[in-house]
Amino acid sequence: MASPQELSDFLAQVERRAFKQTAYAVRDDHAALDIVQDAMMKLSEKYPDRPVTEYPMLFQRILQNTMKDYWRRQKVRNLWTTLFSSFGSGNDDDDTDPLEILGGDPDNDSDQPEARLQRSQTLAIIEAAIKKLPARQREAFILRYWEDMDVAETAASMGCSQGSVKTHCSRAVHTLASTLEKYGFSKQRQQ
Amino acid sequence: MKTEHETAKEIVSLLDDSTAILDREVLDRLYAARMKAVGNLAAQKQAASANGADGLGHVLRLFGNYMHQHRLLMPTVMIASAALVAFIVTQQMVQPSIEQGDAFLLGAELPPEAFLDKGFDTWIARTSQR
Repeated sequence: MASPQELSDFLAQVERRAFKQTAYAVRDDHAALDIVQDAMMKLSEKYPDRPVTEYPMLFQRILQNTMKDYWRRQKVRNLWTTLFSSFGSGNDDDDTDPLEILGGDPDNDSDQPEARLQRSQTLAIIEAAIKKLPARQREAFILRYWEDMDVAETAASMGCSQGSVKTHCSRAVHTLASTLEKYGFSKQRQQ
Repeated sequence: MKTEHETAKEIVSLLDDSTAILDREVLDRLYAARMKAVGNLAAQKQAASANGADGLGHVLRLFGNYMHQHRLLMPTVMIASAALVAFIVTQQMVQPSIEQGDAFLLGAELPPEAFLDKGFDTWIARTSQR
């Protein structure tokens, strides 16, 4: 049974990654914060008796489900908006150009060293590419490599087979590597 | 040339950097959310421990509820007990007089049938007056 201090330590450890991960998926920082908060509350409400060692898996599962709930609500909302609004803006298109993101780099400060600027630009490219990944590939990549879960844990968290996880991860890494390559970064070696 | 795993780890390293440069507003909201969740867990644990300490109270309360629902039971039991005690006391008082009557009949010179004859008392009174 986890103590409040253990829960606090765990959440402090994962909350930033959870926020970024959610922001990549929903592309809205405020919605991402709401989703992360919901996931934290659900973890403390529904699983107070679970040991802290189970929290990473549980939290990821809750977070993914909360994101799915958000998408469902958005889908219904968008459907009604499309049906009743005569001002179809067409902003739901997922084809965001990474170059547009590059132009809006928040960390682009002339006072920063060149290396830092290049790193932040690379980050912007990567973040844009991650946002463009199919949802399952992004989920698999983040769980497997960012949350450092093994293939079995990732499969359990995503509710799919280990083979699917490997496929999703491989495709995600290749897509991201191709994006980096397009911007002049080193090439990935074929395994 | 890098392996898939190396590429992934490099990308993750960049993503880790991105978490270090979050806005103050975002960090504040994450902190508030964390505190809310932790407070919720603490409240649940406090409630659970309070319920555990109140275990004896639950037993007594259960017994009290039973007695409250069967409040006619106690007067009924008391009346029945009083009636039983009265019966036993009466039996104890009546028993010696029966024994004394038997002893009188057995010790008398007359046969028992003589005492059952309703005219015997009248006859003996008249005879004794002569």
